[in-house]
Amino acid sequence: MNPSQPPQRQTPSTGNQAQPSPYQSTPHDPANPYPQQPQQQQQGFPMGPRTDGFAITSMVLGIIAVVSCYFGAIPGLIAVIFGHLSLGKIKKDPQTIGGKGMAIAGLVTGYIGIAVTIFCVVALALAVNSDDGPFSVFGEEFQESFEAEMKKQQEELEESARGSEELVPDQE
Amino acid sequence: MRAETSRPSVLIIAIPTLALISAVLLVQHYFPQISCPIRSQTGIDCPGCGGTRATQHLLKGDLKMALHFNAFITSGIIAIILFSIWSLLSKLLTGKYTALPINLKTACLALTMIIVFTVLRNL
Repeated sequence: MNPSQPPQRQTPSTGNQAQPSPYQSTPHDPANPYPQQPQQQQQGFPMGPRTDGFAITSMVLGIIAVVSCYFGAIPGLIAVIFGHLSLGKIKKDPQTIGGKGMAIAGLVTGYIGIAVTIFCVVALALAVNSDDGPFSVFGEEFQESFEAEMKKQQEELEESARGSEELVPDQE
Repeated sequence: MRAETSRPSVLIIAIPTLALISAVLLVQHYFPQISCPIRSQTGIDCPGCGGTRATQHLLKGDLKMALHFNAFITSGIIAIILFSIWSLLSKLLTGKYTALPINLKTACLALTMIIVFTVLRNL
C-alpha cells in the first residue's frame, strides 16, 4: 500500500510542470525578432536579448545609493521603482528584453540605501527623547554649533525687540 | 570592448551625479559641522563617509587631502570627469559617443571595490 502512493503523487506533479511550458513559449514568438535585430546589429551586440534601460538605471542609482550614506533613500527609492518596473517588463517578454541580473542588483542595492536612511531616521527619533538632545545624532561638533547658533539668534531677537521698544517713544 | 552609441549616456550619469554632489555641498555649506548619524551612533565609516570633505578639498585642488578623506569617491569623481571628456572628444572626432562599460560584470566589480574599501577603512 505505502510504496504505491508516491508514484501516484509524482505523476500529477509532472503533468502540472509540463502544462505551463507551451503557454510560456507561444506568445510574442513570431512578431518580435524582426524589429529588434537591426538595432542590435547597429549597436554592435551580436546576439541575445537587448538589455533594458530601466535595469541599467536601477543598477547605477542603486550603487550611488549605497555610497551616498544617510540620504541613500533618494537614489535608492528611484532605483527600487525602476528595478520593479524593469522586472515587470522582463517577466512579460523575457526573450527580447534582458538585464534581469542588473535589475535585481539595482533592487538589492536600492533597498540597502533605503535601509541605511531608515536607520538614520530611527536614530534621530530615538535621540529626540534622549538626554543628549535631538541633534546629538549629527555629532558633538554639530550639536555645539547648533546650540551656539540658537543662542545667538535668541539674543538677536531680544535685541531687536528692545530696539523696537526704543523706537516707539522717539516717534512720539 | 569599446562600444559606441548615439546616446550621450555619459552625461545621463554624470549630470545627476554632479547634481547630487552639489546638493550635498550646499547642505554642508549651511551646516558645516554636520556628521553622519551612522558614524556618530555606531562609529562605523560607511563607504561614502568623508565624501563631502573629499569633494571640498578636490574643488580646492588639494588632491592629497581629498584622497585622504575618501579615496573611493575622489577617484570615482575623477573617473567620471575624465570619461565624460573622453566621450565628448570621441563625439567630436568620430561623431559617436563612447558608451559607458556598464554591465553586470562592472557593477559586481564596483560593488566588490566598495565592500573591500569599507572593510579596509574600518579596520
